[in-house]
Amino acid sequence: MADHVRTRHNLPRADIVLAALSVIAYVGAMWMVFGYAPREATMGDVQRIFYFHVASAWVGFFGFFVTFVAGVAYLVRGARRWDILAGASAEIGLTFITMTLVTGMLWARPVWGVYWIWEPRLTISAVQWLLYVAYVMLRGSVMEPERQARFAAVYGIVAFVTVPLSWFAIRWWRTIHPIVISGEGMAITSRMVYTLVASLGAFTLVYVTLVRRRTALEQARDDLAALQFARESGEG
Amino acid sequence: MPIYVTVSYAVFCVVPLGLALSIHLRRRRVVRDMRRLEERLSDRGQET
Repeated sequence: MADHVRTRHNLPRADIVLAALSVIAYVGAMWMVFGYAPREATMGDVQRIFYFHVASAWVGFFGFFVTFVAGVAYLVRGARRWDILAGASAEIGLTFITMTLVTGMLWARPVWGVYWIWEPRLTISAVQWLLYVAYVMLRGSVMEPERQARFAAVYGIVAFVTVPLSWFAIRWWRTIHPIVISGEGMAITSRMVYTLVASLGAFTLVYVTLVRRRTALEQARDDLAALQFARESGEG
Repeated sequence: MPIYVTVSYAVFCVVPLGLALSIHLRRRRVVRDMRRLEERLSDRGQET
């Protein structure tokens, strides 16, 4: 029986391949950032934070979008796997948004002269970060699993409003945050665009790898809970 | 390279790696507990 557990919870080959690809893509993107992308004329080398900063924000937003979709799917279908996906994606998304905020502050200091300004984009980002920290904490605090899943699904759907708000904040309101991608194209050179695309690809791969492993962890926890229940039933 | 860039890319390397490691370790502990529990359950099945 222990062999059965070992086989079922072994690391799937697809995950090993994905992890290897993620590392290669990440290292490749980093090489492009430092060895291929040109030095920006105004900001100098500090501008190189841009590539992974934007890619990290993209993965954060995408992670919250997946939480939103999985939340809707859970409310419609009621299947546990959607709740697992929503929770895993929110946790990974929050990690990447945290990196975006930290590196954004590190970028702001030499460019704006301060680490933080309460302008629309940054304020919405701070609110968004707090909302998803609360989401992750909430998932661990409600004991009844079905109630927790339903509550988390609704919360994940409502909290997602911060993603389009954050995206449009720099377009709707006067803000210090630069607009790189607009309706008129991208305000950067082609080498910078390629580096950004490579960074986006690498981060997306890392996201997929992490979400797959995080959902596998939750499934293993479910299996353990089922076993504990079987043991307690046997004792009772 | 400016210190801000160095620290930023250190964050970009350490945090995802730390998260992956944390997920891996948490899962390994769950699987170990599960294996132990299944062995105990199968032992009890053989006794009865």
